[in-house]
Amino acid sequence: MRIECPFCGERDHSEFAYFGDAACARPAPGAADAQARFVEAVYLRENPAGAHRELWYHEFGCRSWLQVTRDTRTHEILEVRLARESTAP
Amino acid sequence: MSSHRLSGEGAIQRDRTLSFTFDRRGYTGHPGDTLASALLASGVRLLGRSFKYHRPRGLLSAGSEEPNALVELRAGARREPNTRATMIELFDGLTARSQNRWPSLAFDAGAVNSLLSRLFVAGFYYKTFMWPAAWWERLYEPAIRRAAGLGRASREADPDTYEKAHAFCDLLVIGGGPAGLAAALTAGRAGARVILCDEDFLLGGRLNGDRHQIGGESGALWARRSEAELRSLPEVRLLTRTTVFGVYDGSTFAALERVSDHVSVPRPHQPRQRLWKIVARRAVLAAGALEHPIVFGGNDRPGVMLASAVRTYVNRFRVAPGRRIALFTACDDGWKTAFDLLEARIDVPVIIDARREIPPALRAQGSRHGVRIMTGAHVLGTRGGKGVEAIEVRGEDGRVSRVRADSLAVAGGWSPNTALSTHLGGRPRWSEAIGAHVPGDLPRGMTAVGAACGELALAGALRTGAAAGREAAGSAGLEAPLEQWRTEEEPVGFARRWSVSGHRGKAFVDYQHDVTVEDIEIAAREGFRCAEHLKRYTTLGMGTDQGRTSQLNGHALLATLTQREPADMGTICARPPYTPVAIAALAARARGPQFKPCRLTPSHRWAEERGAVLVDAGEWRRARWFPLTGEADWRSTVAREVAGVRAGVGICDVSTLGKIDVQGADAGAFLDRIYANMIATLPVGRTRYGIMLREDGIVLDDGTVARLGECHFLLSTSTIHAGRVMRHLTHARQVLWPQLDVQLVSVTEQWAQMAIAGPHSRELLMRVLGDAVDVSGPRFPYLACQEFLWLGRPARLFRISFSGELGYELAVPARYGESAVRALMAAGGTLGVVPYGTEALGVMRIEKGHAAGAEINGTTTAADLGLGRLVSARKDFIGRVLAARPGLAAADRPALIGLTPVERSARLSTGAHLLRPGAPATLSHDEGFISSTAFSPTLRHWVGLGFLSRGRERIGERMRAYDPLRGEDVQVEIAHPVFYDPAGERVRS
Amino acid sequence: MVDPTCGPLCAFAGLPAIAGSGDGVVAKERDGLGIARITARDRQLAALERLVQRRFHLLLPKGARRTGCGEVSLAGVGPESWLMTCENAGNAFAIGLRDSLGGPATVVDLSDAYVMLRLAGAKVRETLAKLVPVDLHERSFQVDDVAQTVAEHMAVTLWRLGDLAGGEAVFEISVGRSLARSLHGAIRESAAEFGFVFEPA
Repeated sequence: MRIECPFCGERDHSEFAYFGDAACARPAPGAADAQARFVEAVYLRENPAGAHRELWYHEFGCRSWLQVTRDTRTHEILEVRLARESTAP
Repeated sequence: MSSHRLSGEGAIQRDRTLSFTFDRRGYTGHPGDTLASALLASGVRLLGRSFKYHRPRGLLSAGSEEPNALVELRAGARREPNTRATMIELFDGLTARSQNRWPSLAFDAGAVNSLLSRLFVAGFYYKTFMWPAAWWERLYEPAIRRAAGLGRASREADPDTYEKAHAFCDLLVIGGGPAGLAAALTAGRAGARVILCDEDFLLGGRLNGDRHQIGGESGALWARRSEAELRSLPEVRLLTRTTVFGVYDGSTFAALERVSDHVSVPRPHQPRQRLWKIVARRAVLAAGALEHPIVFGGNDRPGVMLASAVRTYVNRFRVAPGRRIALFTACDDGWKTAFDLLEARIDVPVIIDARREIPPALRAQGSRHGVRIMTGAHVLGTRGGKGVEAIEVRGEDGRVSRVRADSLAVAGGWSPNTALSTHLGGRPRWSEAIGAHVPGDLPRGMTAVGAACGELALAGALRTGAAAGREAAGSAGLEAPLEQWRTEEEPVGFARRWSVSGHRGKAFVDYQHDVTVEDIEIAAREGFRCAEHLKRYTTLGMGTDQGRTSQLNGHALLATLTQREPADMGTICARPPYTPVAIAALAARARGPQFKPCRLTPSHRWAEERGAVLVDAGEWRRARWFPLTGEADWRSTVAREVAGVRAGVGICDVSTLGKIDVQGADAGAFLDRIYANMIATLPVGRTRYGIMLREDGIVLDDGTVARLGECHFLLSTSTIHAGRVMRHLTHARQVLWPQLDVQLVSVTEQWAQMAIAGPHSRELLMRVLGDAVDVSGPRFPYLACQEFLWLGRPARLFRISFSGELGYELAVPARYGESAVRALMAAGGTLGVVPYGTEALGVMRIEKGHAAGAEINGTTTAADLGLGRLVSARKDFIGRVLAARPGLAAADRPALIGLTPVERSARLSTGAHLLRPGAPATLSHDEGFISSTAFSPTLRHWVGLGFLSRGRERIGERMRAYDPLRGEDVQVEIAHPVFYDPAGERVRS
Repeated sequence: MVDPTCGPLCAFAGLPAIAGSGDGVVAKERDGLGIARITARDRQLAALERLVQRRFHLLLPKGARRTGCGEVSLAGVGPESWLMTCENAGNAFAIGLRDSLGGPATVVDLSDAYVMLRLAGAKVRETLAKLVPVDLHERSFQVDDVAQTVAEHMAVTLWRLGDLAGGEAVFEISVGRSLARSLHGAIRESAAEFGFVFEPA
């Protein structure tokens, strides 16, 4: 698999580490039901057949965290963005 | 010289002779020969014994699809089993042996299995050896393994080297036959970056085995000229002896180049094989097609050979596979073999065509040669001992006659080599036009051309190859003109004959795994209707040849038996690797000491000089202890080092601990979210111990935080978790809180850091550092830190201690680490300074009850480790919410405790379970375990750390430390985990 | 007393200077470089750009590119992060940079964190192809391109310098100091079939 790092360019997947579902934002720690929300964020992950937004870490490259949209059926990479730009307010 | 070698040109160099041995007998051949062609030229046609029945076997093919002629190549450490004789390029001094036979190839005692063949039918293992289960390992499996099998691997270490390489191209051409050459020429001439791989050592594919004309010259000559032109193109790389064996996501391909397999010993610094990882913008599958046999009785007798292989031996190698070769064909293509044989003045007693109607031109050409032609006829069986002597033919009228022949060429038709088209899940599609499967959905960027896509005639191969080459060049932004190559018309008529009804004798579908028609019938009868199930039940297609010559026949037979069309049967999906790949090639250089890179500490050379015993700790190699001459064993060395630190001063290289520089206006706020304890309140010039949790509430790592400036912190991590913590921090920085002003840089490699520990450490530092920094007690108290210049170089000093003694860590730029150690050792001579290694470090931390990797093990909370008091209730941080879950906050969780043996001389073992005295040793009575142990030279008995349910309330209790693995059962007393200086007076002194 | 700043400091000391025969790859140790990591502080990129231009007459490269002027070079190694080098400047370089760029940027001294080899020779690309999964073809990896990647499990930074007069490509590869011996070994063995020559600093 090849991943187009926004900074480094297209690279072999062996340079990256995989961290799963990117949709899990950190819940508000002060919420009344914080514990339930954290359990959901930490343990309950989507595993769709199709387009999936995932976190990849370019560990052997520029050390950027990436938000990669990948088709889990074909491994086709549909979009790659820097995670910091995807989650900024 | 040899009786079967023909005169005339081929692709062998007759002016040179190579000597080799097969089963210890000497033979000769020429450069350009394969082991198969050279043996055939010498009249050898019994090459092996079959897998189950030990039947005599000879060559079926002339290529990589060979199921029978598997030999052990080379001897000693280089012995390699199951090597296809058809793929072994002959070299001088080659030695090969037949395999799976005893005592000899000609007389094999295992052939008795043939008499027991009723026992070896499909599903036999499943049905027969079911019961009793215990017999399987002791009796059935060893017996079966002895009786059936292939070659023997060498038991010595492989003396050769292997390597990996990466390549990138606009176009990868898989296969160097006419279609592949046309694609490579077209794209290459346009300037595209082209890689062409062919498993053969000679490019040209069927152009070498057939007699074709391209533009007025012979096909073989055209291939030579094309190869020369491709070699002249700077952006084209030709990889012969190279098999593309895997297709992966992202247009990535794996190929194995047999760099030195064709020489007896690799040249200096050359690998034996090279594994290529190729990234290609476009790929052209020009892997050709495979001829498949027709199934009839005795179709495995040596002398029965694929028709295309027969003419390859004749045309390319100038070898006559026999003196009297009959032909059994179901297609026009097979007739080429008869004509090539006749051209070479080899007797063809009969052409048997299964079809009633054949093209008049073929019949006319055959008649011109005076050959007997039988149409609508079938071969029922063969006769002979260890080779064909006669064949039995049923004519169109149903009469069976016997024809004397020493060989039989069989042409069942061609089927595209689709394997690489299916590696990413594409399913082959049935083509009525050629009566075989063609590639279905291809991987993105791949085009199939030539025979691989069902274009079985030369003209179509050249045309589709060139078109694909042009398309690939276009995708790289290059304009490629198309060349039209002139070829002759070829008849390509066929009628499918999978097997002959009423066959006499055993009829083999899969030669390598001895799967017969009868096996397929059993499978069909028992309801195995799907191609994948057929494969598992009968092992059809599971050999090293992956059923190249058997798949189509087997599936078609099953289709017929279950009243279906082959189109509705489907076929199997191949997975990588396409051909067997040696594990050594996959490992490449990652073997032995080079299995992984090794990080050396700044003081490595000094430690080696002192004779330190080294240990691999994660990525690092560290000094474990520093033995002195005369010391009885390592325990006395470590005891001396510990005593030296506790009573005097010691030095240890702790550069391996992770160091992360954190700066920015929000650095303090950021670290407050990372660590469970407060960081923002840390004054400049001070250091604090901290723990960080994972979001699930479990402790991730511990270490120190030093505040070097208002907005400048330096973190230390454990050696093992350094990479993980950096990842954790960058995740928090980039994903969780990208809006913070925080900059993170790993500085582990920048600083050499030396622990200086012991009551005399201050004195030693004063001697070494002089005026550079004031280390006196009041000015540099416990947990102080300072940056300063030492002899004009940046340096850092931290008053922290892992040993429990007055201690410091001195950091200098890494290149000065070695000289700093030497300076400390020189200055500390009169203080009795001792260097100490990781073992003494570990002993002292256990004496002090410090948690380390065995305790911070991915299952423990801060409270479990006795660090609950550090956890701040005044702020949010990663892990806070989930650490409060009932399960992680339960009162009966295992808590860190100390352990001492009641019988003081007893030894404690890591991993022992803690049980109440008298309680049975069962899991339900297990209350904890020992995580770390050491012999304490300070206390003169063993001490341990461990976890015990409600442990902190149970100090003084006696328990059993039960270790069934080592057979130990020791009475222990639960203690406070800090065995040494519990008040911590020494570190503050 | 031993002067702590003297002694054999070369991370490659004692390693074989040749492998195979010939000089298909010549690796020259680069020593004495001042190396600093420059990271723009939050919302300070424009200010940093102006300062770098005024002070060093250099434009901060965009992306994984490199630029140089005189003794100083800048290589992009991450979003808003650069590796800055200065010939024969050692640790003093970062100390000076902290004064000049410390306002809009975090400056961290990494002069000792890396060892660097300058690689030249007719077979340098063939050798690197055995080590890094990056396309180093002259059209794909151009002069002043930078790649942070992996070579036999080691994180390496690779950049391409201007070609030699004869058109021969030149690369510089750096790795963490603790891995100096492992990297030397990997390059030496990969280059041995072409002939490898090592020139210590």
